[in-house]
Amino acid sequence: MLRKTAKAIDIFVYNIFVQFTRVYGIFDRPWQTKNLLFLLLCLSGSSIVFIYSASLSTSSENGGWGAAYMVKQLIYFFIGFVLLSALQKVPLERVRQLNLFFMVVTLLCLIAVLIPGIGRTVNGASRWIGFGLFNVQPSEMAKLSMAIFMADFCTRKRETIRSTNPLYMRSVLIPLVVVLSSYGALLLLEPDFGSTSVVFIITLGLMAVAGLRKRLIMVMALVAATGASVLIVTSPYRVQRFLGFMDPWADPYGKSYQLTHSLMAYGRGELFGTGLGTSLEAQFYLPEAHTDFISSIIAEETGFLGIILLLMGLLFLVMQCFAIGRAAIKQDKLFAGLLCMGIGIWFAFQTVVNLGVAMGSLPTKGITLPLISYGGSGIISNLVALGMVLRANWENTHQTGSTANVLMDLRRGKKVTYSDWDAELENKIKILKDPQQKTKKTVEEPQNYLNRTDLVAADKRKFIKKAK
Amino acid sequence: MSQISSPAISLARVRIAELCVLALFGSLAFRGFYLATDGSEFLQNQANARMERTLTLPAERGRILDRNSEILAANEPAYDIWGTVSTIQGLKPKTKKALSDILGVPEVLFDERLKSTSKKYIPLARAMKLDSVNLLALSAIKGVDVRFSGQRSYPQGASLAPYLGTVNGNMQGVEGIERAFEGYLMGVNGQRTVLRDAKGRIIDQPLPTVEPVHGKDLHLTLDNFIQHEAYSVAQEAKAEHRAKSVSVVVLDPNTGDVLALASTLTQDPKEFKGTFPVNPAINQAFEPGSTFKPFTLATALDLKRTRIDEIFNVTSGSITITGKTVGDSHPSLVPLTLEGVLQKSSNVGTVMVGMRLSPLELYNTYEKAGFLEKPAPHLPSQSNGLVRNYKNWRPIEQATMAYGHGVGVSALQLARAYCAFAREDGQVPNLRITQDDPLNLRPLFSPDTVAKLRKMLQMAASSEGTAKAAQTDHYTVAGKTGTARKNQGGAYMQKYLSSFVGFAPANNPRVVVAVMVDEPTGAYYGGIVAAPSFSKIVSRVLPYLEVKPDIVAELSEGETVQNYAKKNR
Repeated sequence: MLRKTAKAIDIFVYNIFVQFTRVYGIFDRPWQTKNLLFLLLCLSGSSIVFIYSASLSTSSENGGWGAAYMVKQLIYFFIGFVLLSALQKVPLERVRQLNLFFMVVTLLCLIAVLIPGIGRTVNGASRWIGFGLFNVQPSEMAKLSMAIFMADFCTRKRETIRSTNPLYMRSVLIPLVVVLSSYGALLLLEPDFGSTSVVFIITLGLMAVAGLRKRLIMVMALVAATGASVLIVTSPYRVQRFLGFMDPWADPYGKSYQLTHSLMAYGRGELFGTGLGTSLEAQFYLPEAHTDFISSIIAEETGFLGIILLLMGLLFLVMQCFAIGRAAIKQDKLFAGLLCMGIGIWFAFQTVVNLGVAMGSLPTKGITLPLISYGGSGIISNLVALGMVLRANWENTHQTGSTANVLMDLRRGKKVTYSDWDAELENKIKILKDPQQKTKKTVEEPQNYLNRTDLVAADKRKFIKKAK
Repeated sequence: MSQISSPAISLARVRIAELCVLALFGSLAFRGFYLATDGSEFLQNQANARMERTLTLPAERGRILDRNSEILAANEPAYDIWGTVSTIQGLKPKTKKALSDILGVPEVLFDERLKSTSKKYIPLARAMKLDSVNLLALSAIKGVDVRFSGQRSYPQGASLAPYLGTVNGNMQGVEGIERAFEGYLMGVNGQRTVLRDAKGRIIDQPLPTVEPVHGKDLHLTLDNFIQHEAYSVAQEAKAEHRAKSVSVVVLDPNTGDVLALASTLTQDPKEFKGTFPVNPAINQAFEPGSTFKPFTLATALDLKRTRIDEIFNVTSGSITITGKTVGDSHPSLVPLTLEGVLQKSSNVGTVMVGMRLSPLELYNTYEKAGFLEKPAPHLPSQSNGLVRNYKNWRPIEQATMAYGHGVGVSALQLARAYCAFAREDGQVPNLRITQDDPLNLRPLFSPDTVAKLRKMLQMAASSEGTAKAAQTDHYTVAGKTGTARKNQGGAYMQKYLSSFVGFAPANNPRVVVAVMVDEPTGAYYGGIVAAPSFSKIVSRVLPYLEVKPDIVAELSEGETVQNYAKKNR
């Protein structure tokens, strides 16, 4: 009897495991570009719809144009998609080359935003640089720039990161601390705690993926936690927000006003929502309904169903970034792979924090929902990042990226350790190393071709036969 | 497979990152599910507490109509004006001034009121009458809500104020008929729940509404014409005799209908503040004096203790009962018959008759005549008379009671009891306030006694009686005067209460009229002060009731009817 029960439980658990791996399997393979674009269009379409719903009352007050925010967001999406398309023609190696330039521009913008004449201050935080018609938020640039920098940094230092090399301090920690602290300090001066945490999470995540030792991951996480708590304790408004999060119903008209109204929106939505355009919280109750708290309006109008669809959409997007990154890593395109991973981590973190805040699971923090919340800089930087991911996906299936990668490293005078260059590339290297030497026909090594994902199965079989 | 070179970065770390993301998204989904299901009720209650507002849909109060469906009390449109404090404070000074002008509040006080309140939304004015221009102007000002609400109007003015009573700010009856028939007149308020945005404005969204049930119209037995006549006569009498107040009651003895119930007021009805003025006809018990004598005599006749032609020697002018003396103000020089006792209003004669009765017999008469109960059970704050229990009566008290002293009755009670003399069958009707009230009769005297009494009362109002002034040109009248010194704190004062209660026409009475003049200045005999008012009322009311005159004018030779009318006008 007991044995039978144990066996039944065993089979049950095993079945669940099998089902889970089957479901989880859908994240394993990178989709085709058109599928990803369709997902992107779904998310941006819902962004337009809910921004209209959330901002209609506030923007039409005092005779304003009700659709103002929606149309602006449409324009941002348009610009973003144009940039995304343009990026498809730019090799990621080119992006890597421009890394330093990006960093310098970002740092300059981050400094400029702190200068009273240039930076625009809203609610005590100077986060925007005004350019007349439009405003630029340098912190969004910082996130993207950090992802590119870390991808490049981890690619170059991957051996050192993994090892217990005595040079560790000099070659990894010092540059990392310098970059991170300059970004962090400038962002905290705005102040923008949310972007600082995003930048830090991208750093930590990419270091961990690149193979940072577990003990050091713990140390970094501890440093981050300590830093965050010090920042909370030293600033009174953050203390207030934290207390408001701990017990929202203690002061629902004061410090927890926004949080309680967000929770009410979730409660009002129930499972299937009150219907599109019927949000009451958008009737001046919930502040920042179209930016940080857009998910509350989605929850109120479409209920848990809408939230679960939103979560699934963003989850697929993040998992696609990871899958494309994984595929690139498999092809030893480390920069592209780590860049995709960094962007995935960035999106995942913002989604989790934004929704966690709106649902009262995390302390109130101004972080936008990627691709959904209103904001030009955020939308454009998100789409530029996704443009790079799509380019990586393209490069995974077309070998040019790999060639450029190797050539780049060779030009910098570094030792090339990639395992899967093709015959053509090998020739080029030889010409580079010894221009006098004439081209020689090389023998293709079968095991390298086995590892290539872009070849069809028939080709692989052909090579294996040849080798035998 | 071991031949395949491993990538430069371990994919296990990527897997871990993916699992972390999956776990975090999964927990968000769980949290979202909790908020949408279990947590939703609490959150919705919290949201409703802030977003919903329950508006009362006021039920319209029923109208009060007289027996001819003339409107005595109705509702007229008025408006409650509410304002959102912060919005009004942010208005332009010019707009603000216009607002305070329409509200009729000085601007400084208005500002002060906005500053001193801690609420967001306050009433600026209640039950305000607005013309269409001001209504539009107010509606156009931002932050001001104009809500319709009714106001009670009394088109008949002061003449009915003490009888109808009034309503308070919430349209609830506080006095008179309004209070007595509160349950009938008031409806059931409806309710409408509306949603509002964070700025307090109502969002039009259909939510369940409970429609109001309006109050029913109340049809009184009162006749507005008679009421007006009674009131104007009372006012005239008050002016003529510089009295404290004059009350008039007009009843229909056949049906018990209250045709008029008028009192002069010391206050304008529009300026009622605090206590509502009392209605002396209902609320005040007074010593009836001689108007009480017919009850003593009728009781004795009913019980055969005396005859109509018995002669009483009242020439001494006084009678002593257990050492106390009762006297007449105008002693008769000759012995009087029973008819003469009433006609000359002899206290001594009445005491002689009254002492032949036992206390219980007198008390029974008073009880059956309704002096121990409230005459109209609905009406609030009535006097139910001051007649002590017969077991405690001393002989002298019985004697004084026989001629109407040492007891207290209200004008309404007295008029109602006189209906017994006015009716052929000698029964006392209950008083019908509304047309729905049933008629109940209670036997008091035998028809035979009543016929004798009616004749005696007619003689009392004749030229030889005490109330010559009660006579009219075209109708025979019957009635009795009464003059009582007012007793305050046990001592009789030089203040009088003169009254006359009678009916007309004498042989087939259609109305019973009681007139009560409180504290007249100068002359104070009921025959001089109260009887002329009775005469005026009867001569105006009976033609209105289409009663045929029973005194036929004798035209002198060569005189036409027109000339006669001109001469006697």
